[in-house]
Amino acid sequence: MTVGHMVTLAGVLFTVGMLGVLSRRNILIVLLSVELMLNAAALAFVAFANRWDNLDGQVMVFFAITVAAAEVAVGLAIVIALFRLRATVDTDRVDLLQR
Amino acid sequence: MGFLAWTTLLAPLLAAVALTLMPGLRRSGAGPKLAIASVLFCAFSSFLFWVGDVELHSPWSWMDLSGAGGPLVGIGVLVDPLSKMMLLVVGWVGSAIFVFALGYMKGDPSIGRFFAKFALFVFSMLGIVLADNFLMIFVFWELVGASSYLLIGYYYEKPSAVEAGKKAFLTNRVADFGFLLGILLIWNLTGHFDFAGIEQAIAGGALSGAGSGTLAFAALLIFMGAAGKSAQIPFHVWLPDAMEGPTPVSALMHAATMVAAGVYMVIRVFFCFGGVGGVDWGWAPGFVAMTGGFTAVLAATIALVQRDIKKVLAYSTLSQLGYMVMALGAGYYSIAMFHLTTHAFFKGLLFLCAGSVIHGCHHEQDMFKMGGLRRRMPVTFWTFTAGMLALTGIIPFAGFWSKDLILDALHQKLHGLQWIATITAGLTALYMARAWILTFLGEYRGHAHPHESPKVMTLPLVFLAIMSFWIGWPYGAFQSYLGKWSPKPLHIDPSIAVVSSAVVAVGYLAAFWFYRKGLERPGRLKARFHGLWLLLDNKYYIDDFYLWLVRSVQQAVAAACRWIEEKVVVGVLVGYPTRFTRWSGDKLRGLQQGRLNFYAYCFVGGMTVLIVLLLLGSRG
Amino acid sequence: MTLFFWIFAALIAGAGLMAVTRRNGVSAALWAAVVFIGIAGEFVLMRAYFLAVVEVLVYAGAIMVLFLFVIMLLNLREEDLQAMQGGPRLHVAGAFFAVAFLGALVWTCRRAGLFAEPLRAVKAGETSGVAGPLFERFVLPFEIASLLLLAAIVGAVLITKRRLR
Repeated sequence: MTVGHMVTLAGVLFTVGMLGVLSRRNILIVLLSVELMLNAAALAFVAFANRWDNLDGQVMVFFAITVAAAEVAVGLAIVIALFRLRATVDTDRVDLLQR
Repeated sequence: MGFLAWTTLLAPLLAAVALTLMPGLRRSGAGPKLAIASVLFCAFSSFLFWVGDVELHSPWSWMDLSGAGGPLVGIGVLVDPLSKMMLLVVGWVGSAIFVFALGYMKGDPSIGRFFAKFALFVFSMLGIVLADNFLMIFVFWELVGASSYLLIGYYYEKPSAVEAGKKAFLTNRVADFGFLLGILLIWNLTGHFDFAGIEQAIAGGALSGAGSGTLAFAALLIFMGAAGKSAQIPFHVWLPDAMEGPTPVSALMHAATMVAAGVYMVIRVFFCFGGVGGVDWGWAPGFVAMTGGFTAVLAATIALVQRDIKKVLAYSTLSQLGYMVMALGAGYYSIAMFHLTTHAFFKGLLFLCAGSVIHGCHHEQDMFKMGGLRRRMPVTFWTFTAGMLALTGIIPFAGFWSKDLILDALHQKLHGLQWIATITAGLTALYMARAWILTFLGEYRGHAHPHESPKVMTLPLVFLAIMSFWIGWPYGAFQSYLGKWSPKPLHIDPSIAVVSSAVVAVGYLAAFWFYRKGLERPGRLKARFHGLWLLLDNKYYIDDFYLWLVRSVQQAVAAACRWIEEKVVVGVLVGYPTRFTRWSGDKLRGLQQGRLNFYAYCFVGGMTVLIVLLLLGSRG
Repeated sequence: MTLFFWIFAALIAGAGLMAVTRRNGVSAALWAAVVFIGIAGEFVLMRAYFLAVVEVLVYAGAIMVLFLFVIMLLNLREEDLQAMQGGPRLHVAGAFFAVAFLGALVWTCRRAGLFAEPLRAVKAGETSGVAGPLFERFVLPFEIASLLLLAAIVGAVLITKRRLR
């Protein structure tokens, strides 16, 4: 298959993740969707690394995965703290900034 | 010599500043003496200028916009016969009054403040005298007005004094509005602010036909300013109230010099008023003369019913200023100046005598409570007598010569006014003799213990009395000295002199008949003509009219402005933007929902739009 | 190879769709894990063997496990999950953005001629090819990444600590 197909696949995955972020109210699912988007980006990187025969792209993915791991850890910690405070993970109910 | 002139101008200012900024100077005895020294310096330099026949013009340019078609703005010192004469008056009369003030204000806790303001006034007055252009004269004009306000309100704890100060300043301000318009109009017509330039422009015939009509109008506007300062009708209302100030102030400012500034200024720019016996600019000078005549006779009638000795003198000043203005209108400017000079001496003298009397009677000013002071205050009595004789125009005192010359001048040009002036002379004699009798003759009717004033006060009286005696004699030399300012020198016409002296004698006799034997004859007269008495006592109700005018007109205008302010400015101009801002703010606030998903939507939306735009852009 | 690409592609797309639409958190997490496996497969197809293994180990293995821990820890009740099912949340707008984004992507790729470039075979010794740059040119980011992980650990612990004594 061509690079284009791979990149398009990455785009599809990115879009799916985006839809999840936009439309779900459960914070955990939202975080999950964000991870999907990150992976889509990683897929695209690898495709390009392959295309240009330059392994720097793969190094980039390595770092991306590392950062994603750190981010998930902290993000979930925040969700737990939030749950302890507000007894909910519903994004619609955490709107203290509004009023 | 130029340096001497500038120093003369600035010395009083330095004294005033020193007195204001250095409280130590105020408290010690040296402060007032410093102010007196600055005035003496003026007397000294004026003498030098006169004797040395000095003529100089020392301009100092501040902004030169003539290259761009604009004016030349600056100040300058002009020493010519007219200003030399005025300098002599200010210097010598001023010195006498300052010395008197040292004694009169003794013991006053704010004496330093008094002399500071007094010196400031002298500085401002000298600025008017020595000015060489309209802008400078206008600046110092206002300064003089400010000094007047400060000094009238000197006893600031007295509400009537404060009110009087405000009244003086405001009345002058209204008049000065016309003055400024006149100055600007003249500039428009001639392109100059400096007197020499204006004179040349007018003489050069630049204004004929329609131009001369505009010039006449400008001249009247300028006269409006003079009318305000010299208290002619309808701007006269402030002068009687100005008597709230200390008596030396009344003497120097409101008799001798400041009120004369209006007359002086008109003489300065006489070429705007039709020049000297040359082209007659139509009705402008006649209007001026009529104003003077009207004021003269009106003020004299009011003086007849006054009880306060200072008020009598104030209305007398108004009346005499009217004489000067009549002379101006007749085109005999040097004669007006002559009367200004003699008047400064004898009116200054009279005011100082009044001050001596007030001081001796422990601040009593009501003549009905005086009497018999002839024996207790002899020096004051004799000097006052000298002043009275001068004012009423008894030969050989100074007032005779100057007043009769005015009558002669009026005889040449404006016959009708000559009779008004003559009748006023009779009235003058009447009210002055009345005051003299009530104050000095008969028996003492008051409660204090009157005593003669100390030498520091009586010596200036004697000096001024001597001057009032002989200063009128060289009237021929006077006119030729100021030859530029009169069509031809006049001599005293014997027939006119006899008629006027007779009228004056009648006045004296009437005063004696009414007042010599106590107060019941005038009391009966007052009862019989009660309506007339009321009219005079209320100053023809002019003050009340002004008050009503202010109340009704001003309040109406203020109410209209308020309506505009509320409905238009606040309602529309402020209201609509306010409401719009609030509404849009409410709408925009909806964006800040605090909901995660919404924010995400915004991210995505923006990102997509950007990407699409970029792609579209790169396509082309 | 083409066949495997399409198998994995379907896996990725399908499992992804399932993951974002499940109501039950655990189901969603598991479907996400499937997505990651699919991605690992694609990596293999592109000869990124090291990364494929890392993907499975870290993503599917660690991150998803963490997710599952938290989901099960929160133990949301049935009615809460019910409540969070919402009405149509402007799905129309979302669909619009999705279409626009994908369209832009495909169009760009077409213009860049990416559809004409087949995926290549990689040289042998591929893992060392990644390790080389990683420890030579990118050694600084590498070290910083380790610090980042440390910070994340500390942060996570702090945030979730109950009352600090």
